[in-house]
Amino acid sequence: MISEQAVVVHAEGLGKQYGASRVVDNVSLRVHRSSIFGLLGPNGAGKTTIVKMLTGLTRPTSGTIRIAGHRMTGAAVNAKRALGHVYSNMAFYRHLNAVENLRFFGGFYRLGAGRLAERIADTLEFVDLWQERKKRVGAYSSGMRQRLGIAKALLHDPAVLLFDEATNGLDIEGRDDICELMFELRVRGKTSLVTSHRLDEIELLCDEIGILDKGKLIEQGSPSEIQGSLDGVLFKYVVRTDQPIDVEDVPGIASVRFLGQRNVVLSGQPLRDVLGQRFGADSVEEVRPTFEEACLWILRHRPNPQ
Amino acid sequence: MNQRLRVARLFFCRHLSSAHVLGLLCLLCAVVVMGTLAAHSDRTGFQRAYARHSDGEFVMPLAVPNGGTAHQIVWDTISYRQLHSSTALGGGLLPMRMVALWLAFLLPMVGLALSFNLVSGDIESGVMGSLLSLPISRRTLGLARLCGEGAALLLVLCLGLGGIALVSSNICRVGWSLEQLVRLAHFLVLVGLYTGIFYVLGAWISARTRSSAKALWIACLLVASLFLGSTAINHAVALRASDLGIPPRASSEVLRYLYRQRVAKGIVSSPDDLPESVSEYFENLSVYSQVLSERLGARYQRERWLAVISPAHLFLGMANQILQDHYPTATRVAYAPSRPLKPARLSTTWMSILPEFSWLVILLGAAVTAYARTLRQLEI
Repeated sequence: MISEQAVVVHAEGLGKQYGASRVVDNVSLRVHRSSIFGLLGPNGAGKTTIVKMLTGLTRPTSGTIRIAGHRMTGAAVNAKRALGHVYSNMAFYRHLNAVENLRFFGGFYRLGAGRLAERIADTLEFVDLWQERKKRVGAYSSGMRQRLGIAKALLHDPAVLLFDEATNGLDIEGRDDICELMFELRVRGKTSLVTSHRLDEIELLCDEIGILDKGKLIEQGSPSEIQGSLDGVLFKYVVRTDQPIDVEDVPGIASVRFLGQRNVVLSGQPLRDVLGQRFGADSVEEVRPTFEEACLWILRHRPNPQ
Repeated sequence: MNQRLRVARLFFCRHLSSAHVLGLLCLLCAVVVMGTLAAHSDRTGFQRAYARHSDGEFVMPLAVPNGGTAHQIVWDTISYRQLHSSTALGGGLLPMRMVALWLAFLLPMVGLALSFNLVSGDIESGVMGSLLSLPISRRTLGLARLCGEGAALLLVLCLGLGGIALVSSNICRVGWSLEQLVRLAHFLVLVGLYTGIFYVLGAWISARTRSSAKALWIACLLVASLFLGSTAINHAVALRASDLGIPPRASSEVLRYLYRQRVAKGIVSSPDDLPESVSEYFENLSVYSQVLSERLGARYQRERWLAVISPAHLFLGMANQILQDHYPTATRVAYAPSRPLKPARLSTTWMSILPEFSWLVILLGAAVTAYARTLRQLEI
């Protein structure tokens, strides 16, 4: 049993409406200390809106938010002090260098000149930008700007870090760097909430995941729990055959992917016998659906709770 | 309050290092230097004329009396002498008066140009996300930012207008009296207030539109309407110039004499040496100038309401009052160049422009309130 004190981010009945459009609908989240929580969902599912509400950029239409025990209402100074925010395409003042930018943003946290200088050095070392600290931010690559964003988010040593699609637009190396930093932060005891539509990234990083669709939270749990929730519901078969299988040929097939020498079949019902009779029992192998397949299945087939 | 000051200081320091502000400083310096050089050039021309006679003697008006009506000649004479006599006497405010005319349109452009993307630019670049997630209220963020960046702008205005005016005036040997220095300081207050209104207005437009392109269009429309509106008002007012009375008519004999003197750069050592017809003409001109002075003053009072709808008129009217107390002395200066200038006391000047000043303060307050309200409701 996890105590209430271990819950660092607590959102209850969160809703956001723009005119007639309800972008986030009654979402409740609990993120525990020293864990990484992932929010997954297609474009327009409401991930970024939730992060904006959590950071105070947007006010929720309904519901309450508590960050490290502080309510996110009004100026929410204490709640914001407990937060560090990294978003896609982090922006800084381009004519200033990394240290000047961090000194400017760090100035809002009342750290004192000595402590701030120390934190700037620590965080720039942590994100491996110390050598580049005197370069104008306008000359930074997107990956360097994202790393500087993490340095900025860590300046005041917050309890919670929010990564809103922080690896968007980065190359493989840049993405790996950011993921490594997130891991490192977790080792250091930081709590993170990560939104992404990159399923591999989320599976790799997160202890717990929430799947959003059309503003509603349709599934929540650890990656293995989410995969496990589809045991007996989603079936995956690898059929070794030279010819692609037509979905219409075998009743019950939800999707087929032809990968040259084999077909990967997904279905909502057991089809081993049917496929065995058709292509030969030795050619059909039942395997566990991957996390990515499980998530996509949930998004496509799980009814959205009204 | 401490927090606001601290945040304002952060924005002040950041803004001072931006290229916009440094560019503005260069622009203002260039404007003031040009004004001072123009004044210096006129002054040396006059000095040559003054050098040819002793102090206290009558000086022939130097206006060219060819072409146009007598009315225009009077106007040219009065405005020419009135404008230049203070420089000839070593006054330092003349460059500022010339600059004030440019500033009436330049300052709104500067204010709007520096703030049209204050909020929208940050939203578009993504910095606004970082700013709004900082642990301060939006009210503090918005107001402290306005104050901090506004203070940087004010510093640049003071350095660019006041500092350079003093330096370049000294280089060009255009003198400053204590009275003039105090008036210069008051002029800078007016400049700050006038620019501040457009600066905050630009910030409000930026926050409302959330798009730099849209905000730029609106800012351009504002500047254009300011210029066109002011020109239209000037034309409308000029059409009613007949209420200034009919000036004395210069006979052909007088015109011929003035023209000859002009060509020969002649100086008449005493009014007694003038031909009788010319003396009589100047006498009539002096009487008319007194009447004109009173009527101009009355007209200024009557047309003060223009300031409510035309910021350029508002600024120029106030600038003229502060810098030279324009209307009461206009014609007297023209015909008594060697008499020491006695501008109205500053307190009297300020009392006379109090309604306009209050109107500026109200406008600034309204713009700040609108900006703060928009920022409070801003969602990105």
